[in-house]
Amino acid sequence: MSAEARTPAPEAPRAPTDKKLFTGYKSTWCPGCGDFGVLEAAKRAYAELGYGPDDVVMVAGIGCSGRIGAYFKCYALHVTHGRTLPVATAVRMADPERPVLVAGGDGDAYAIGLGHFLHAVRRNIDVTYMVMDNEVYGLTLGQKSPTAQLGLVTKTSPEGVVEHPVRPLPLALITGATFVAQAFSGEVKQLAEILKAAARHKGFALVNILSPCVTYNKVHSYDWARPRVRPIPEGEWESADFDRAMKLAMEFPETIHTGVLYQTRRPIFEELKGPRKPVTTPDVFRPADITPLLEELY
Amino acid sequence: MANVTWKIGGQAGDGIESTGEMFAYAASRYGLHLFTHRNFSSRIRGGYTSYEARLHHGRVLARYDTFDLLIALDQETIDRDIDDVRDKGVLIYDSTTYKPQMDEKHWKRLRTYGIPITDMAISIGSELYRNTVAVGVSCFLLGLPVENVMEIIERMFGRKGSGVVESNRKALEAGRAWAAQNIGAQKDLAVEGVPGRRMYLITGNEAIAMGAIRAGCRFFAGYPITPATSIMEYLIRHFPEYGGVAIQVEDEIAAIHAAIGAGYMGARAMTSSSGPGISLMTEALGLASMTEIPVVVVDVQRAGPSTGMPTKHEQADLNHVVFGGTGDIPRAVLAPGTVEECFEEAQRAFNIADRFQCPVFLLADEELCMNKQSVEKLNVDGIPIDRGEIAYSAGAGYKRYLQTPTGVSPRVVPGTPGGAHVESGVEHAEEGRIIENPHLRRAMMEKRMRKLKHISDYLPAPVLHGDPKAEAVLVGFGSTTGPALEALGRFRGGNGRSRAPKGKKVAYLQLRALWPFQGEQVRKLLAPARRIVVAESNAGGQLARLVRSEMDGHDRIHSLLKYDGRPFRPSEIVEGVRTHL
Repeated sequence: MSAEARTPAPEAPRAPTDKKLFTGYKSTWCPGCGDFGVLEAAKRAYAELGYGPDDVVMVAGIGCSGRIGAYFKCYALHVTHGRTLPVATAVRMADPERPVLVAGGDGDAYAIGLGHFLHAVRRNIDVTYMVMDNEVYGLTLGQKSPTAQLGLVTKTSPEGVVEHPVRPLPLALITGATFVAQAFSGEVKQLAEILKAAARHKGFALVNILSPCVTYNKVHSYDWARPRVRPIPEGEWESADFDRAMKLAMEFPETIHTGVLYQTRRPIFEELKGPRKPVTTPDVFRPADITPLLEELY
Repeated sequence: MANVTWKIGGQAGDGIESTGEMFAYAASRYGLHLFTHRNFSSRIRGGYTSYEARLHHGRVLARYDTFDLLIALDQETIDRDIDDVRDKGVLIYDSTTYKPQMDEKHWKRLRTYGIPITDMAISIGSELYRNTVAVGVSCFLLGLPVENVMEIIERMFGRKGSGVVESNRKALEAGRAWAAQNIGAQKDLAVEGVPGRRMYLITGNEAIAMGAIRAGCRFFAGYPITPATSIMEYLIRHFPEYGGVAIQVEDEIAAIHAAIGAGYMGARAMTSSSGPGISLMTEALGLASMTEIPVVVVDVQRAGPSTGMPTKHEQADLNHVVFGGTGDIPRAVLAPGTVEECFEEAQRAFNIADRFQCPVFLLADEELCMNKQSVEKLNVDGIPIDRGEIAYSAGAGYKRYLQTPTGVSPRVVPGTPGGAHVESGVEHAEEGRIIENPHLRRAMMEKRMRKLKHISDYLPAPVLHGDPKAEAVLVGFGSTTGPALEALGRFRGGNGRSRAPKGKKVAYLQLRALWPFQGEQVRKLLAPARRIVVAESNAGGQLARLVRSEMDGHDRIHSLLKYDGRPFRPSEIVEGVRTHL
């Protein structure tokens, strides 16, 4: 059998599948972890979009959040800390027809991987990036992360965080992001809708998800978040009003506007710089003719 | 017959490189073999720069020790190069712009000609033509046919219009005429070409990129760094013709992760860099090894550590590519010594990476990769594509990391029906599940490390050049092979200007792969040697240490080290070996 027998590029709309198809290994997250909501929403979203596990590639980072690569069944590549986006860029360049879901935490995205984040946004590669943001490093047992709010006490900030927090949404907006969303993992239904919109978006889709750490961040908990969350009505999601998006984003943390804050169209990197057809060529066994290259050196 | 070294030197921005290329291609089209050498600084304008071309009747792999003809466009060239012009050699300087300040002895020992190069160029229309005037002088002195130069001029300047081509032709003629009238024929410089012999001038970087294209590599990610950049530039230019994609990314960490991402998708993928970038890429070696995704990494070594001397030669990354990384990482390290081998090993690297699903280094160096050498042909039939173990369907019991005798498990490409699974840099069981169980851990580590035993069968064998019973054996890798082979010829008495003692038998053992170390073969080949001299371009004796770790009789192993940023000259190897005879 040749590689041509692989599943064809998924085309929307497809009939919904069963979200149970995406059930992977049993998780080791703490009971009550916000990431459960993200996992559930992702399963719902991709099932409702009509995908199966063999259709999707997930690139997952390091930390509690990155473990989602083992829990969401698909072609998952669980990589190095902070390096999900370079890997995902190449996955898309190699096969511009495959849906790619990137998952990681706030440390992955905005500390060690911040450089890659900005460049992935600039390129506008067509991936959905779920950042599970809880302001702490959980798997290393509770240190401050770059999104930790001023004053947050952690093991590495015993007197409270003094560094100004990274603001992911404004940062993405000024870097040229074409899809910027904020979500709360306590609102699974809305998160699933956001993830669907992100997957349908042709371009880089940032979905920053407040995903409370019930063990190491007692301050910014579900109870802290709930009264601040203000959902943007779905009818107002497809807005390309940059100033409005910036204003909503800057109201964090007093008001946490959830939904799609901003969406616009810009050519994707794969189309501008990608190959004319996928370069995933496991069945190519015939060497290329390099005669013209050699003749250039005569 | 021919063995003449020509050199032109001036300031960066003077067009030295294009002049050198014009001359080199003209000589190449005359059917001569060439070995060229560029000396340049890590700056864009200003600073000494030179282009050296050794013309030879047969294949040459090294620079010669001295120059026969030096064209010095400025005083700095005199200061740097005059000592290396051979006795009775020819020095040409631009008498319009300066008069050389040099020791009286050089005026006596050299044939020195001041030529109003700039004046002649200006009379043709622009100072820009002075390089072509210099080439015209050279053509007369060496006896290179004007037609060959004109072919190259048309290729280089044809796009700029017939006026520019015509002016260059005039400049060429003016230079020739001046030399004919004022210098006259110089028998010792004349070269005899082989008209009709078709030769190609190619750098190691070009050969590596061409090898990658031939091998089916269709993804490349990189970050600019001297002396590896031209691989990326070449692939960005040529990949589209072959359906491939090459991208410049934000750093070398991204570059290697991207190559791994494309490899995961089933593409043949590569990245390339030099010391500082290779340091960054080291992070991902563990990931590629743990997830068992093929990736090819080219290291074009330059003088380190840190920024070191970015445009200068060294072979000091050996320890890093062989041992670098945290944790136990099975890998292969190939070390081409010629441009032909660059082409061949690039292809082999992809086969090994695919067959063993692990990182493969192509360890090259600045001297090999930045300078054009002539080849009559590249071996385009030698290496078939081997994609290793790929499963095109996956049943219910599919295990990505199935235990096998070789340690290699059939992999599926994303999209394969029924094959969804997780590949993780975290330790995992055969099916991919994350584990910490000590028994499973041991089994999986042994599975990966088992590959090393089998990789050896796929490596190019070490080659012993010369008498297998020689009392002294030189050992080296990479571009050291060129000067080592030339030195060998001198020990055989094949060169009239040699200072090597005749009759002493010396051989050269070229290591074409460095890891996994081919201990058994090396021990056998070195068994008859009373003296072993390991020649390498670094200060620490990295190859010597590696050889010692695999051999008994350490008292017969000696180091010959060079770490001034310049590759070995043949004479330095002759001298270095002679002290051990």
